[in-house]
Amino acid sequence: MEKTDENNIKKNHFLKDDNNKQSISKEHNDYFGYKTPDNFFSESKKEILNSISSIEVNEKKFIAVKPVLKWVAAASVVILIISMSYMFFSDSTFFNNNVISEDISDIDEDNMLLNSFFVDDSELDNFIENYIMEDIIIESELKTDHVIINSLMLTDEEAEQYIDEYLIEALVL
Amino acid sequence: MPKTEDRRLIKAILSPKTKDKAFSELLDLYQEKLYWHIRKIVVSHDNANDVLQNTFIRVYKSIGNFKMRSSLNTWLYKIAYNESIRFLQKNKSQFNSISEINNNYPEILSQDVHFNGDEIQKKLHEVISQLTEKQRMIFQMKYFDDLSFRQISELLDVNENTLKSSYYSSVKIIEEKMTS
Repeated sequence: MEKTDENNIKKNHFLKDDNNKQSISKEHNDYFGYKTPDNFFSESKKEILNSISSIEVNEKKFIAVKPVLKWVAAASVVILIISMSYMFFSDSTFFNNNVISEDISDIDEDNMLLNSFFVDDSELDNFIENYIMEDIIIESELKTDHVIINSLMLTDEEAEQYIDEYLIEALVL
Repeated sequence: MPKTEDRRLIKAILSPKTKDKAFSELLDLYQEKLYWHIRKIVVSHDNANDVLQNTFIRVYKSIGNFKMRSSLNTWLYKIAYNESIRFLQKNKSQFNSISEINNNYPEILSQDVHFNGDEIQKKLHEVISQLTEKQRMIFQMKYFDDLSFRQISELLDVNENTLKSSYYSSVKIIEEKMTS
């Protein structure tokens, strides 16, 4: 009779009593019939600790970074690279700065105009004349250098003709 | 356990000076819970013991790669669950599938020397085994393992509302069959 009453209680109250919380092992034993050997968990713990003691774990820096921050950082780096590339290739003066312009008249004209602002009116005529003369002389000297270099590749006859032609050109200019 | 505590524990395990003490602390916190979770999947105590050892060895080796996208608790349960399934797949010599193991759960359980349930308890296991595999997993994790619906959702990758619906439906089925 007692056993039947006890069984009826269990039958109607198979759901464990959450108001009377017990350890998980006791619940499994009382309500569900599961058993473990005596001292199982303490023995099991020792076995596990022995097993892992022989395993070398590489010491790693544990950094828990939110995934969003990683994407933001990656995107920032990409944008930076693209910006720098754009600036590098779109700036035409970058290349031109390293190229020596042989066309001196372009530079000198602007310089002359600028410099003329600092010259007295009475001296202006002389200034312009001197500037132009210098310009012609420098250009013709350069051309002469070219002529000399180029003439090295010509025969003597051709060289004479070549020099004549270029000197005339230089003087006229 | 709050995430700050999880972080502290993981850092301590990864440090050579504190790893032994920290891993011992981890075992104290999770060993029993994981054992019972495993036991209900693999049924017998001896099998559960083997899987439990494998689980903690895997945890020890992988803890450096844990990125804290879930809680430590969920991550550990996931490893235990996967190790249990792996064990069953390796050892399904007697049965052709894991479903077949589930269907014969009461029979396998009664053969285990570490089970001494009375008639009521045997009946309870029999009724639970008649649920579908997913229903049984959800019921066991909620009822036996005391996991929250959120934790079960992360473990099984099932929507929380679906879990609740499944669980309460299972409870109703079990109550009806137990009281009939």
